[in-house]
Amino acid sequence: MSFTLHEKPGPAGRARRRWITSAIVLVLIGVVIAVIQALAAEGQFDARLWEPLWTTPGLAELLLIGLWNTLLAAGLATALAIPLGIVLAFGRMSRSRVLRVPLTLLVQAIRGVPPLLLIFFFFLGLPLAAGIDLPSLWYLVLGLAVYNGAVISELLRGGLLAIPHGQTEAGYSLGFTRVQVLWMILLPQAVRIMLPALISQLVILLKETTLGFIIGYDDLLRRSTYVVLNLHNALQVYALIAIAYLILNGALEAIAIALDKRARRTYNSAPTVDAAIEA
Amino acid sequence: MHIFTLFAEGVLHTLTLGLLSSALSLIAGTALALLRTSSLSVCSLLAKAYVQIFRNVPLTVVFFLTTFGLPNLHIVVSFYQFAILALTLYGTAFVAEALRSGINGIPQQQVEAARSLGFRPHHVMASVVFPLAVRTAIPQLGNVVVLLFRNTSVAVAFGVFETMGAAQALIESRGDIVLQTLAIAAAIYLALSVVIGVVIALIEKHWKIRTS
Repeated sequence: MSFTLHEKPGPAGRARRRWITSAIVLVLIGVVIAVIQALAAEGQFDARLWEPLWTTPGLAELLLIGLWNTLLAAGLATALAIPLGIVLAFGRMSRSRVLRVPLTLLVQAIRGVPPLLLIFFFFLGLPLAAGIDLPSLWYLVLGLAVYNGAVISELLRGGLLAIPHGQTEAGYSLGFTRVQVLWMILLPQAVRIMLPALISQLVILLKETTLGFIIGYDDLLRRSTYVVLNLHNALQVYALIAIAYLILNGALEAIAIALDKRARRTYNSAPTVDAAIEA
Repeated sequence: MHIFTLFAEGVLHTLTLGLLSSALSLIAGTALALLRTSSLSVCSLLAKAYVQIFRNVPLTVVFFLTTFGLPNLHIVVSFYQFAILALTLYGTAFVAEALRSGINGIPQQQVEAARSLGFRPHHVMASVVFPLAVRTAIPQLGNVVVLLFRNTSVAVAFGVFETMGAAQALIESRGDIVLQTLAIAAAIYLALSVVIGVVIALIEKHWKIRTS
């Protein structure tokens, strides 16, 4: 918190806080024991449910390939979403209304639709409309790239608008064109300000790759459902998968926070991660 | 009007899913945000852990844990109720985070002014900091609600018949109008987003903090 609600507690206050804290901790321990007992009573700690996770031959490999597929889809979608975001942001910064208005409408429309629906548009629409038949990876990647491209364009536009106008004028006075000013002067500064927000968006993109299982993409989540179908240990497998995503996204978030700290050292007015992580 | 009734039923479920999970997330998220501001580190750590976990685990995985995990513990409710549970668990973390950044934005002077008027600390939170924080957080809270409505579409993969489910059913029976069906679904979600956006803008305007 940016403010202090309480004065520093005195000796009596400290003693009371210690009491309350230990009471809460005791209750928590009680709850955890109760949950563990309930789980044990249901046999959820039985070796037959956990053991296959490390004794089944090839299981680790199966899941690691799934993880690779997840990272592949996220990486490809990112690689497409960022250029798309830049192009859309530049288009919306254009002085020509013919370019600005339709692009603004397009970005708002894409952001108003669930990513799953966009994936379905490519998955069902592309083979029908263009006769193109791609592996499901590409439908997932295209859907996510379009959706996140629109979101990233909004982020970048915010960053571009935050750069002081003197920068633009300095560029023009050196004889730069509008696109040159955007690309060589404003964009590098905007990216630097919005980097934490961009990385937070990439965390969201990584989470959205799990939608791929609905169109049959063989990602970590889909492969884990194969495991569940064979070993009948849904809780155990999905808990492990949840932890895997937690570690993956936690690492990305840690990078975002570190970059945010660095950005704040250079730019005192830089937007915070808090403000950026809204979605 | 077969198509109309199909979509009407789907939209109804999307609306109820979105409204119920938003309302529950707002209630639970408020509690979590207040817990996070607690001066007792046990409480604030617990709240922080919850937010960290549910913000970083994909919604789809939360759905798998509730819909297919909980029945192993003999907790069996309908797919619809599992969907509300999953969306609420997920949304709560985002509501708590939005409120926390709202609370963080309240200047120290507000607290000091209230304290000097004789307010107790919890009273300062209840009648000064929190009302201000909610107002500043309305746009972010609105984003969370929009996000939850959009994410109700994931429930289609977990046995819930909502707008996407209606689209899927129609596509399966009518192979000739696939793109049109998807366009209808897109228009429905778009209209929903616009309506929610307008409502949030109205609330924001109504509750605007007036500074001289």
